[in-house]
Amino acid sequence: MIWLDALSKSFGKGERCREVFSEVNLLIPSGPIVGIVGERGSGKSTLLRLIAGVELPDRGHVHIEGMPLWSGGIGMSQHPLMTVRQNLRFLCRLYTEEDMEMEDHIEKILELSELIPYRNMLWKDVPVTHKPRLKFAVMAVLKSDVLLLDGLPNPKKESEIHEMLQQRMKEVSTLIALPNLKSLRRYCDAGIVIHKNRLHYFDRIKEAIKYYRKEISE
Amino acid sequence: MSEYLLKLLHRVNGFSPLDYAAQWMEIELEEEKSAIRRFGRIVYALFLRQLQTRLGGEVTGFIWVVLQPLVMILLFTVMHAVISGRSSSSYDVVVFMGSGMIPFFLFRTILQTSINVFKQNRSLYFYPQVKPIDAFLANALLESSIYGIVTLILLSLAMLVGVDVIPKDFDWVIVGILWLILLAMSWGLLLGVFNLFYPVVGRFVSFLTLPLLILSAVFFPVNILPPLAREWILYNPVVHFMELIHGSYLSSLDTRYVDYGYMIEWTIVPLFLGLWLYRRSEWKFVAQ
Repeated sequence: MIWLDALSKSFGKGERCREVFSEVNLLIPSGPIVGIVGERGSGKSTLLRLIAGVELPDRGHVHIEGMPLWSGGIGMSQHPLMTVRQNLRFLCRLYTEEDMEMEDHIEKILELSELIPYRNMLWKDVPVTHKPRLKFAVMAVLKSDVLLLDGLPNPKKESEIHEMLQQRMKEVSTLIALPNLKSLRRYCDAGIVIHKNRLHYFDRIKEAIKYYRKEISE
Repeated sequence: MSEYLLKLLHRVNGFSPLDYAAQWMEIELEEEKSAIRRFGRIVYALFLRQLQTRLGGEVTGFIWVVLQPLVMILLFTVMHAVISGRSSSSYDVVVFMGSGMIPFFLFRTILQTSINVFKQNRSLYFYPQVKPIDAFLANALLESSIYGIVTLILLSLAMLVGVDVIPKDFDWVIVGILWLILLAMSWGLLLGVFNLFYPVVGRFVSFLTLPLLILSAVFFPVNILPPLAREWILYNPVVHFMELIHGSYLSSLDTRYVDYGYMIEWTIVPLFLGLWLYRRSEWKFVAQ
């Protein structure tokens, strides 16, 4: 369960001040896969950042039940001067209690992200094309209670990660920021539409889509 | 009456309220234990991470850490010999320099790294398991371990050359060093929290640590100073630590100028102030 309690957030100061959320109250239940849609720049990622705790609200609070894992931070937290394996060992140690389990997770993540040939290479030397896969593999393998996802892996090119992640999303609470209605309909059980600094929660996808089409655009 | 009720309950349930209490306490204890275990695991993970990235991840980094105090010790020993002649001291100058400088460098390193540690590990705080203070503790632990190894290497070197490095009062030397580590940590915590919100603090401190080497009685005992200078230099808390370590290490020196109450004040006050400020602002660290 995630509870947004009178949440306000704006960026910039004075004339340039742009408000993203004003006095938002929302209870997001655990269980359904919740997609977040809205216009470009409406604050989809900001919402995830606020829930993950990397962005502080101007006013209000975020209460979150269980342990969240935010996809946006995983790449950021890889140290450039450590090898892929060293980085993964650090990360997996946080989410496991036994070293056996940790090594297990590392192997799975390396396999899923197709980073096995690079495992002993420094993170800064890994080709940029291979880096984005890591975060989805990590999200699919590590045991957290709430997944905060910024986008989804490509279902065609990265089918194995995609499948694993789908499986994982069914087991825990999930919040995904999505670029369009198509993926909302395809992957989610419930939807949040961001419109005019407010959040609108819909239990059913159909209603979310109807609202989006009516208020925002086709 | 209540005893009777307890017995009745026991007969009905086959289970006494005391059993419930015992079981409940056991669960509490188990939870506490696993919480401590988890905390240890996080600090260990951060310790390894910092170990892998400090020293540039290369052997040359470690060699430099060993060489730096060695060079300084030898340099100051030679300077001492040049300035005051060979036989003027009643103690072994190399041992005096070593016993002062290694703890002092450890103090300075913990202080300087603690100030930046909150900022350096900022990309990890969104993992809810990682608290900024864990990174702080891991850092202090790492620096202390590195200097522990450096000390062992330098002591072995000295023994090989034939220097008598056995301290007069081993226990008090250890107390002095551990206390100095605590002093560095309490100031590091306080200034580290400040540095996150006012970066000028960090620059100010690194500027300040330069004269600190001269003003901390690292390479001379305070009893050689004229009374007025001695009175002034004793306002510096680090001087007391140096005097404690020197006085306990070398048999011809003593600890008569050490003011333990003064040392306690300078340790406790920043420690609690730092912890209080940290608790108040911890939730803001991730976005700083």
